[in-house]
Amino acid sequence: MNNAMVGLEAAISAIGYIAQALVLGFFVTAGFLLPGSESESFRRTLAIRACRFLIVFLCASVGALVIQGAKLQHGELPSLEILWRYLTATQSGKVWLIRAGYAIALALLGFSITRGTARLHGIRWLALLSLPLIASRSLTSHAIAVKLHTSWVIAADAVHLIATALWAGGLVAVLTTVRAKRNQADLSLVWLAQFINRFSRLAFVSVALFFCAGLYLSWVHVGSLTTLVATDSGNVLIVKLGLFAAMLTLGAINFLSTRPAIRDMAHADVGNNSLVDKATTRIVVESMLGLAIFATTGYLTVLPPGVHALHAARQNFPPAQASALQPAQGAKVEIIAPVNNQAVTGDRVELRFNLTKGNRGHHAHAYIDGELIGMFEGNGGTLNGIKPGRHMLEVRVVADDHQTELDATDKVLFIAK
Amino acid sequence: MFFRCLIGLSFFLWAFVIVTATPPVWAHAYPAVSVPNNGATLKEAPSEVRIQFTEAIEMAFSAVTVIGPNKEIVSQGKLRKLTDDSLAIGLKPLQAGNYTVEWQVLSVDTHVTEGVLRFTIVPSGK
Repeated sequence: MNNAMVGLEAAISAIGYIAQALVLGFFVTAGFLLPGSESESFRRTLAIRACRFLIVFLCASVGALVIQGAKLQHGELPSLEILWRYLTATQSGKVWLIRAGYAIALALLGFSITRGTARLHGIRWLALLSLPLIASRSLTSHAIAVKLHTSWVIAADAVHLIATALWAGGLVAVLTTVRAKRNQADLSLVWLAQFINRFSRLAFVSVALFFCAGLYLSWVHVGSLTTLVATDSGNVLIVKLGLFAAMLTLGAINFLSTRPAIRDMAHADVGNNSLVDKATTRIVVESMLGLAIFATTGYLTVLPPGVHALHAARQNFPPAQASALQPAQGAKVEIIAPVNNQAVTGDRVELRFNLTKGNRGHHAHAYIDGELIGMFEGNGGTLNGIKPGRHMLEVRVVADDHQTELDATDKVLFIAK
Repeated sequence: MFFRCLIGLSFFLWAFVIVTATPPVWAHAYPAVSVPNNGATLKEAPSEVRIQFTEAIEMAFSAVTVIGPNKEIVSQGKLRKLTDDSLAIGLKPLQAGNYTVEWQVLSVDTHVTEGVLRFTIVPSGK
């Protein structure tokens, strides 16, 4: 793939993230954040806008599908046969089909509910129904490719996406709402105080979830401080963290300063246009930072996770000669299965071991008769292609550079029949 | 209007940064272990090539081809999925010489990778 195509893929990915965030942000704002006294017609306006963002999301999905097809066809415009095979024969293709179908159904439902008068509970249902659309993006992200604790990583990714969408998508919806109210000269201070207060509470919970899930995902995908600094995905993550810090600072200022000031102003019933202007400007900047975070997220989706960077770098070089085992520093491994002298039938052996990583251990290498045959990040797996006969199985603990093997090994003999 | 201009500007800035700054390494599934090992010198000809990748892979768009010293294809049979992340391809009886394993896979997180591994068979007795 050339740079332009990768850039296009990242940009389309970012548009998809932004569109789905705006869908949720506008539905949630229309259904949950607007004060109870708000008119149905205004809620309807916001809900219709959310439905339009669903169409943008669908367009971005089609773009992403074409790019995916081009990747499978060596950069050329994909044939229908390739696209059909991708959609029907691969896991990510099937997820694409389900998400696109779901988005179409949601858009139709949304337009149907918002025809005429939009009932509040209908809009609230739309907000809830848009959650699976956002969460299901995790089923084609890096999370699905993580080998260890996959379901936890997918769940964390889904929470991360929903929290980001609620915060950043909600911000844009809040801004749109405040500007529309000001343009209509319909901005009451009590209304504004209630509205901002509701969003602030939602944003507070979203940021907490976003931060916790993001921390866990960074640990899974980046793995170490060295990888954070030395790999492309680590560097992009640093940029994303910087943007997050800036957005968080502005959010904190709004939460701790602007929100109480507007509330006090509402209590005193004293209008202060400059305060509202200042609040609006802060929200604009915060929204821009949110969009930038989505752009970095789109970029991250096309970069290999930092933990795989060493494998990527090794591609052009044969492995170094085996060197002496390095001090274990607390690492140890014990083979549980097969047990010593166990007879197995067929050419497969189920390997199970207890791994203590200590200070340097990261994963394990399995050797059969001195030949490296498998790498395991969990506590076991399947060894394939075992020839009949008596074999020595050895498991060694390895550091995260995939080269340094530690003096933490265990051996068993087994017989393949 | 000002708001829309800001959105457009920030998006184009980010698109520019992405297009100009992206390095030429995109993909995600890489061989973690291969049998024969990359760069190995063997005295006995293997009967198959196995590759374990760093991520689970999709069979529908994955391929492994082994090329012999005279540029002939020496792999045979259907590509087999051993586990979610491991593939195997059978080999014809091999003679001494340098062999190249060309692989291309689609990982479950939608990324396409390709590369080559190499191994050498020396005449027995050397």
